[in-house]
Parts: sequence; C-alpha cells; structure tokens
Amino acid sequence: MRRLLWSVLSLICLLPAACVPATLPAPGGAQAIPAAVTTSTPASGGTLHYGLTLPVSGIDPHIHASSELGIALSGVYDTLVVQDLLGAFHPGLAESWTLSPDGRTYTFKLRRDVRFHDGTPFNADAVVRNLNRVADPATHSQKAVFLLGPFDHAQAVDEFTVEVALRQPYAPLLDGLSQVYLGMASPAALDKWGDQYQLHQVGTGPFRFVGYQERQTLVLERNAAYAWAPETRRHQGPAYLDRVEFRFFADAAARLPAMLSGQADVMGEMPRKDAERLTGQGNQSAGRPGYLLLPVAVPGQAVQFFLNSTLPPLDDLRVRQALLYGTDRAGLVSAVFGPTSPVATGPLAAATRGADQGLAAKYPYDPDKARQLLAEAGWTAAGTGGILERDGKPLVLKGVQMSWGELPAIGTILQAEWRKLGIDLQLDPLTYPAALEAGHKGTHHLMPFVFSGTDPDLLRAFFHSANLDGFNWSKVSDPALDGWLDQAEIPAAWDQRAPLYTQIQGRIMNQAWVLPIRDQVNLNAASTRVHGLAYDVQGWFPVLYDVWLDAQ
Amino acid sequence: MWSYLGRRCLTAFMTLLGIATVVFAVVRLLPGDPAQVMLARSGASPLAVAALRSELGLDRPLAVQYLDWLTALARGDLGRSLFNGRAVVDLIREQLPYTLELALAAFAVALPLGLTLGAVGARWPNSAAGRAAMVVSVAGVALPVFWSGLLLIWVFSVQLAWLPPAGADSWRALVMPALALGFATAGPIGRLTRASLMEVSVQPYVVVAHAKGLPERQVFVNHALRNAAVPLLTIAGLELGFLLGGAVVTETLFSRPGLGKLLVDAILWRDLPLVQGVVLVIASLYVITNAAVDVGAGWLSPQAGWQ
Repeated sequence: MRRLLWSVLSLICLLPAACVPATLPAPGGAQAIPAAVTTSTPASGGTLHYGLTLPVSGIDPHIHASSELGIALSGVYDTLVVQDLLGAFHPGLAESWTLSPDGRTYTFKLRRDVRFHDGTPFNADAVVRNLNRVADPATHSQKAVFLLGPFDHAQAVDEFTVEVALRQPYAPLLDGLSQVYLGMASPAALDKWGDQYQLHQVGTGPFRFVGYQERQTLVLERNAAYAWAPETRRHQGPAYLDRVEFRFFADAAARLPAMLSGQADVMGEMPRKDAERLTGQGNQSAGRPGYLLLPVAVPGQAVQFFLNSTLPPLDDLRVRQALLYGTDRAGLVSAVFGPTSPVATGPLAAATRGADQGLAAKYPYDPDKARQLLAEAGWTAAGTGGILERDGKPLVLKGVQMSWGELPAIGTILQAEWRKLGIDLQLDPLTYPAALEAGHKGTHHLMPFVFSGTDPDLLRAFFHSANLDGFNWSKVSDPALDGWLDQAEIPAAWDQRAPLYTQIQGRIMNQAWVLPIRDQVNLNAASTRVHGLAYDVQGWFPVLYDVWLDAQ
Repeated sequence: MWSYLGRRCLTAFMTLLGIATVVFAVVRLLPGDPAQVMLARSGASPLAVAALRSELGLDRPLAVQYLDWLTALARGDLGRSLFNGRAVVDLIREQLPYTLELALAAFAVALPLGLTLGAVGARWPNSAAGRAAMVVSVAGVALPVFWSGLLLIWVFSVQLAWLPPAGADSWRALVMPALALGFATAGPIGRLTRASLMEVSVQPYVVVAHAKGLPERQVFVNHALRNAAVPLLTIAGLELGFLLGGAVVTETLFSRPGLGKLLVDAILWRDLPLVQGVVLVIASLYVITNAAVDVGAGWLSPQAGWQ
C-alpha cells in the first residue's frame, strides 16, 4: 500500500534526468558500439524480447520497404554477399564472384552446403527464382527491385553457379544484394503459399520464422541446422538464442514502461529522455538488471531541409547561403538532441561510405555574413516587425513540418533564429502523404527529409534532374551534377567512384541546396542480461545471431 | 413491430451505402498519393511511381473505381490493403475480436460504474457522497485516457509488476485498458444518469406514486428508473458504438491490436481500400447497435414507442 502511494506521488513529481552522453560515430562507415566488456561466455538458451515500432507495411522483404521488417527478418534470411562495417563485401551464400570486363554480368559461385528451413536445398535455381520474383512487375516490389538497378535477367549456369546480367554497369548492385530485401527465400515455400507467403516465410538464416500476429508480435526460433555463417560473424554454428519475440510498440511513451517492467529486453528507437531515465535512475534494485544504451549511427542522408531552388526568394544562391550561415546548427542540435549528438555537415551522414568529412569547415555560424548576403540580394530592413523586404514584399519562407524526428522543435528554433535575421519562417504541419505531395508540387521553400542507405548512389534520387518529378525536393537541374551521378554508378572499384562523390557533395554544398541538421542515430536500449548485441552496417538491423542471454 | 424492423433495416442499408460513398470520395480528396508514399523509402524514379500507381489501378477514372468497388462489395470482397498486400477482410477479421473484447470489457466497467455514480448523485444530491460521485464522473469526462492509462501502467506494471504494460496476450493485458477506457466512458454515463433521474423524479407520475404511499425503492425502480432508462439506453448505445469503433488512444498506448488504430494508420498512410473497408465495418456496428438500442428503448418504455 505504501509502495502504491509512493508510486503515485513519484509520478507527480518530476524525475531528474541524468545526462548520458551518446557515443559519436566514427567517420568512414565504422560505428562506435560501446564495447560491452563482459567476462560472460556465450551460453545457449533463452528467449529474447525485442521491442520495435509498428511497421506500416506488410513484412515480405521482396515486396515491402519498412526498416521494421528488416529488423525482424534479417535473422531469417541470408544474402548472397555480406557487407562489413567498413563497406567491404564478404562471401555470404555466394562463396566467390567475378565481374565481366564490360561490368554488366556478375557470376556467383554458391555454397553447396546450405539448406532452407523447409529442408529443400539452396542452389542457383533458387537464386534465379528469387531475383525473378523481385523483378516481376506483378510483385509490386517497393524496395527490393530498386536495389537491383538495371537488372535484366538471371540464369543458372550449373547447379551452383548463377549469372546476373544487367542492362548497364551498376556499382551499387553488391550493396543491394547484401540487404535483407534481397534475401533468399525457398522457392518451394513461394510456390506453396503464393500471396500468403508473408505469413509463412522460409529462408536459410540462423532463425526460422514461426509466426506473425498482425500488428502485435513476430516470433522466431533457432535453426538448429545452421552451419554456414559468414566469416564476419563472431561465431559459427547455430545461434545461441532459443527464441526471439518481437513486439510492436506504436507509441513512444509505451516503450519505457515495457523496458522497466521487463516485458522487453531490447527496445529500438527509444526517445532520448526516456533512454536517459533508464540508465540514470537507480534501477538496480535487487533482482532487476541494469540497462545499457546502444546508439548506432545510421548511414545515408542526414536529417536535412531541402531548399527549393526554383521558388523565389530561394532561387537566389545568396539567400540560400544566408540560411546556412545564419543557422547555429551545432547549437540547435545540442538544444534538441543533447550535447553529443552528431551535427550533419553535408547531404550524407558521416557514417556513410564516401561522406566528405572536409565539408565540416563550410558554413560556420556567421550571422553577420548572413545579413550581408541578404543585403547583397536586395533585401533591406523596412521596419514592419523587423522582417526584411524587397520591392515591397516581405521575406517569407514556407516550410513543411512533419511530426517525426523532433522536427517541430527544430522548426521552432529555426523560426526564432531566422527572425533575428529578418526572415519570417512559416511552418505548415502536414501528414506524411500530404508532405510528400507538397514536396512534389514544390509549393514550399523548405522540405525536411531523411533517407537511410549505405551506397552514396542514394543521392541520385534527390539531386538528379531525371527525378525532378520525384524526390528531387530542391528541384535541382544541374548538368554537371547529373553527369557525375551517372558516371559514379559505373565503375565497380570504389576508389574510382569516391572522387566523383566528393565532387558531388562539394557542388551540393556550394550551391546550398540543402540545410543539413543532424546525422540519424538509432538509439537502442538493452537490459544488461543481453550480451553480444551489435548492429550491421545499415544501422537499423541487429545481428541477433551472435546474441546470448544471461541465465534466468 | 415487424414493419418497424423492416423500415429500420431499409434505413440502415441506405445509411451504409451513403457512408460508403462519402468515404470513397473523401479519402480520395485528401492530399497525398499512396504510390508515392509506398516508394518514398526507396527513392524510386517518377516513372516507377507512375507505374505503381497504374498497376494499383489508382489512375483510373473515379466512376470506374467506384463501380468496381461496389461490385466487389456485393461479392463480399473488400479488396486488398495497398500497404500490406493482404485482403482487407482478413485484416478486419483478425483485428475485430480485439476491438470487441476491449469494447465489451470497457462497457462492463463503464455501465455499472456510471449508473452507480449517477444514482448516488441523484438520490443524495447535496450530501458528501453525492458530490463525490459527481466529481468522479467529471474526472472521467475530463481526464484524458492517455494520462490515466499511463498512470495505471506506471503503478501496476512498473512499480508493482502485477500486469503487463502492453499487448493482448492474456486476460491480464485487458485489465488496465478496460479500466482506463471504462472510467472515461463512465463519466458521461454517470452525469447523464443523474440528470435524467433528477428530471424524472419531479414528473407527475412519480409525485403521484409517492402520494399513494409506495415505498421509496419501488418508486425509484419501477417508475423513475424505468423511464429514465430510455435516454440512458440511447446514450449507452452511442457510447458502445463509439467503443466498437475502436478506441484509438487506448489501443496505441497499450500496444493492442484493434480496428481503431488500424483505421487511423490507414488514413494517415492513404491505404484507400483499407480505409473504405474498416469504415464500412465500423459504421455497420454502429448502425446495428443503435437499431438494437431503439428496439430495446421501445420495449422498455411504451411511451417512447416505435415510431
């Protein structure tokens, strides 16, 4: 009874939040994973309860695109190749591969000892069947087919050799093939279940798919026959965990109680304040485990605002640059996300392969320079509330505001900072589909967006003129940039592509087409019962194969 | 009575058809294109977006889409979810039991609680008990389910570890959502019960019953309560209908499956067939509940009658 009373009272009082610094990501694709120095040796057994957000889409990796399905299913499927944290490719289901001199045909030699969870053998025909399923327009693939690029056809040369033919050279292909969306499914299961396949998935991975309760839970079980783990994993043979139960938490407020009550052992996408409370409060009561934070840098595009370069006044380079000089980005990120959160310096997050670290020196916070640029562009003080004017028109910018990623807080700070420069920023709260349409029509000056991916070719979707009618929110039509983007897709060797991407990023920042805010961080919390948890290079997907639990 | 039922059925059918048409039109007027939303995570080219839109049949003339939908509906086919790929009927069939479970559990909490609060408030209006009953009722109306739900979670899951904070695995997971939602629903029922009872207690037939020397309890139950029950039943029916429509906030907070959250997500993401299907099912539940309430009201109080 007393405990009850104190619980109620404690709810009414504010709990002091201890400051727990998130570790910064190392540049060049490596992540800083806190070294959970543990003397515990791996032990088999136990059920891991993993909490994640509610997937909006279905859960078939060939068809659907959400990262939640990748989190849950990357243990069920193996891929032809595996990418390590530095971006190098290792054998997965394919032992080795060669590329034809014209760069258009990959020949993969497959492992011979692999079986699907239903006992059928993995071979070249299975690969062909999978790739054809993804490429078939009737499948309506929302992501996997785009990872294949200019895919033409695949054919089995012999039982364990498969040729993948492209219409033109495409360097990001291996990156695509390393993702769970191009995982290998059992052709027998595809035939048997047809359009119900997503509820009965069969792969070759260390965990087998047991069941999916729509919008509730997804259950996996250990695959005892697993003997083909890639060399990048920390052990070989079957996984340690008996079972993994994923539970979906739609509301951010529900995640902390789930961790504290022990209903979840690991929780993804913890709100920062809740995560701090988890590790800061005295939670080490008798019998209760402690907690560990695992922030993971997510590669891809940073959270940034695209500046619509065709909508006046942002069609003037000086005004765009003024926005960049006039925003204290480090201060903004620190205020919203905490003092050690990574500030973005360019269109690519620092953890992405090919991200140009030299951009950090560009656009330091310089409000005087911003005012000077605005004055040069013809905007003068007129006296009505301090907003600048030109030809009798006030300097008004319209920004799209969405509800994710603390954008409302960021927007409020930008409004205040820019008002001091004489800019009136008006924010328009929109739901996601309405925001996409607004970006498409180009009705607003500022469009916030974020995008995950490991290959810098993702810049194409946002800056190539072919995508003006698509996701090119800044409405960029720059022939030099188009040329570099096209060229950078071709050579297979990374050191031939890297200089082009440096030029591309340089041009984007010189032209001030984006206002970068913050590199994305996937903040996970785990109970200290959980050992060996690490995330793959994509940033979102845990490698549950190497995880073990303390005995209960 | 049968002609009454017959007329009610016809009205119900017309209502549902009207709702179906309005939803079909409105959800297509909202800004945003499902194909674009589906491909936003892949950075696909505009050609790919257009191709997907075409494959999904979203670029056909509205009249064609409407007729296709009506003919499919006549066959009992509600279409396929755009985002999920699964049949809408399957999705609804999976989520409906959870909504029914929560609605009935919350109603089972709300009705006795609300009636008791209202009766206490009406019987002893100026006493401490009566006032306390009304304060509790107002609290039910005013306090958001989100807040009271979180409070329950903190106390019963985190501190006491008696109940699970999320999910719908067992009866234990139903307790807190039912309490939070039931308390919120009991509020309006309590207030209306009190108002209705107080109004009835000054009616001529109650005064006459008292004058005839009938015991207080008999007056209360046979005369006052029976007549006060009619508006109560109507409101209770509306509340039940609302609960059946899916209590979105409760479902979200407790990570429970259910029609409410399914519908809200479908609207937010422009999953057109799912929106149409779920709205139709919820509207049908409302119509059935209200028809049952009207029949019940007519039986309870001949004065209300069946018009």
